[in-house]
Amino acid sequence: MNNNKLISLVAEVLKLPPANVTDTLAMGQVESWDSLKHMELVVAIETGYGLELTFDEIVAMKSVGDIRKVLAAHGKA
Amino acid sequence: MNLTGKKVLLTGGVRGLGRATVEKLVAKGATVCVFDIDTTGLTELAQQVPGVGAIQCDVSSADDVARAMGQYHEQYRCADVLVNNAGILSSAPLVRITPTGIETHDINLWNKTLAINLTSVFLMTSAVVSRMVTTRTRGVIVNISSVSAGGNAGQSAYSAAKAGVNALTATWAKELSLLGIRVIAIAPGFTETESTKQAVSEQVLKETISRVPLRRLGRAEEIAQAVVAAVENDFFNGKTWAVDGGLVI
Repeated sequence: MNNNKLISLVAEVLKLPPANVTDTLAMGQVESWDSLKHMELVVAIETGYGLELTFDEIVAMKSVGDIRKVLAAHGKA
Repeated sequence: MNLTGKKVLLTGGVRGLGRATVEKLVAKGATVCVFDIDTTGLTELAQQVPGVGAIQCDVSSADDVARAMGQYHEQYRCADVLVNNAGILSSAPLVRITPTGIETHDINLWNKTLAINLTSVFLMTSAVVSRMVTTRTRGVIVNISSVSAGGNAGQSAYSAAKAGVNALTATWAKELSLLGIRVIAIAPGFTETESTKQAVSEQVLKETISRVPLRRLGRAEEIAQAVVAAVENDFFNGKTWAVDGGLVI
């Protein structure tokens, strides 16, 4: 369920087909995932999961897999 | 934003609009620190307005901004509000016909005006916003622009610098709003300050006043009031608010 939620969220923000959103998808791999879009993703995650990310977590989220690890640390996995 | 207890960093706060804004912010319960190049003025300000922090800084110098911001962050951790007020008024036409020929706008005056009025805004904002981002502070950047940003004869450098300030205001609002950081600008019209008296002749001032629908110059405390109101209104963002008595309509 949460897996689908994260995939939907990333796909919507990065304007990608959900099928293309895998754990290995990382910043720099797709043109749409630039630094500005990354902040949009951060806000979408914070809003979608009802949490506030620290700066270190924001920087650590370099791939969908990394985002999943950060969410797990917040008990949202 | 409720200013009570908020940390405000203001540049060029020793006199004029900056000084009036400092007093207004302090009255609102903000913790204010001023960056200014005038060491003597800073000492007097700290004595006259108790509780105001004072750090000497040439805001047009990248090295000096880095040094002063280090000092600021050590003492205050992170600003909630930055008011980019430091600036100089400069007036010179693009070309001037003299008895000996044609003189063009002095390049040193151009560079100095751009450095103090525009580059300083870039240097200060990038330093403050970096800290806001790392601490997840949802703050406000206030840029003091001018109605001259629309183009004012005899003020090439000043007008260009202030137009640049307006552009940065819109650009940064688009970049930073997602992070909860608002970026706004206040564009005063002609205001009763020492710098206006020094930069604009009495004749030009008289002519200007005749073009202001309210038929008077603005007062520093009216501009300061606008700064406070713009910070307090959480839906005001990315725009430049002209506080000019209706000069530009």
